[in-house]
Amino acid sequence: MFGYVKIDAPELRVREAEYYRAAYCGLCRTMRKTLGLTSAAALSYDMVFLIMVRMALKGDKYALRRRRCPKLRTRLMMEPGPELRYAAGISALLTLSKLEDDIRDGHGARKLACKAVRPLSRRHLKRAGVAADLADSVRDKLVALYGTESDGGSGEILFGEILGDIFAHGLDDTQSRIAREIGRGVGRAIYVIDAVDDIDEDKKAKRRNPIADAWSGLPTETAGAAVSDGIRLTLFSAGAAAELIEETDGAPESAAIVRNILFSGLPREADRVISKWKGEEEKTD
Amino acid sequence: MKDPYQILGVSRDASDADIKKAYYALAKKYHPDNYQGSDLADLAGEKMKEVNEAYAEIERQRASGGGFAYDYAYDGNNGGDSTGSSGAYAGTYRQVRSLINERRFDRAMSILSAIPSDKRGAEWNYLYGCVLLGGGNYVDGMRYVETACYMEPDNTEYARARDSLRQRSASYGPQYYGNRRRSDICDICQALWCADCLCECMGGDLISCC
Repeated sequence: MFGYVKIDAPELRVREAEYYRAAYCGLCRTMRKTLGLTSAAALSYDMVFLIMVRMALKGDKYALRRRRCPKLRTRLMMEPGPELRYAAGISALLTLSKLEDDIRDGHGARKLACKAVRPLSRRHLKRAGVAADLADSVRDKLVALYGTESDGGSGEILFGEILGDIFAHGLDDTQSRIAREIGRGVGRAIYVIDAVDDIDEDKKAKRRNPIADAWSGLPTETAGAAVSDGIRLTLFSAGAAAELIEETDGAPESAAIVRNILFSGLPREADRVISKWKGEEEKTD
Repeated sequence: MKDPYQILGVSRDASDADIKKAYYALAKKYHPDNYQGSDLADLAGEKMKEVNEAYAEIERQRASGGGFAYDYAYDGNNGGDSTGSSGAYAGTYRQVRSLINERRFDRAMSILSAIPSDKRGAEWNYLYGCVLLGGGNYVDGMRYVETACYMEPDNTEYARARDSLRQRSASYGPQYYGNRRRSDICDICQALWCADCLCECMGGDLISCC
């Protein structure tokens, strides 16, 4: 994903923040142990959000244990479990898909670098054991998304569908419906946030940007406020779905973290990116 | 199906408690027990069914979040102070409005897409925005509603739709999350300490040991 899935730390309780960091370190360890040492380069908090949503829905809670990490420090880590392994696999799948896209569209040194890394990434995915139906569906939709983008369109809906599939895979009926709605809303929102964040860079590189193109007819101030409203309304559907997660004794931390990200962390990131966009336009004017 | 809010006689921004209250009042009114042996039992039955469906629909919308923005944007009729459909495509827009009322967004979208781009005015943008919002595409939906307001700044129907969406969006965020947090032992101690301080200021004492 894009690194916009963040917690609003001051709003979390100490034990919840600790749990969140432990899940990150646990995922790092799981990736290194199951996929290979280099796989941890693709580690991100986005995958921790995936773990938290699925754990909250299933009511799972994994033990935390203090272990030594490669940075030679001891850290509290979540013990490996099915959700950590699933997130590690998804990380490998998305990394390989991104590399393949860069090879398809890239030029020069970047293309060569991606080609050099691809066999390693393929090995990680093979070890991850991601379900073939999910891997095929994600790859097909990503190809369609990249195609839409190169035609100058927005891949917002498709990206939402991809995350919906990823979040919902393998869960039972009700859990799967809630997870899909959360994944879909978050996917759509972060796609738009990322596009807004790239506006300045794309402008300098003379690349098309789905948001800048679509909103070019309105003043930036109006467009910024309306995009911000649109993102919040998109997140509303994900937030409403998260409200249906049953509060169980098994996973109070993960449910609290999911709500913190959806209601506070993500809207804050959206506001930050949109203010940056408005600020840059003012400077240009 | 008619506007579920209209059937229950509540406004779109009514709280869940108000909706439930309105539903119970209507359900009591049209309950089959009240019409036993009456010739009007079938009519009451129909009314009861309509009320049940409306309540279920509102619950569904609010629970899933899907489509709610459309309900906020689109008031479901052409009456009141809205401008209504006008111009060369008045008939088409009326048809689109009724399709939106029936939540047939795909059909409404294909009719709107068939209108040539140079004929797409403020109403086209507004209706297209409502269709997108109905399908859960909020960012693009906002764009079309905003464009409609930009093209016709004096149109109250479009402005009201945009303001409702803004209001809805503003209610989402940390303040909502903050209200959801369950109190823990620290909150309880803090509340007791504050209450004790207040009592002491007034000359009393809530907790004698501190």
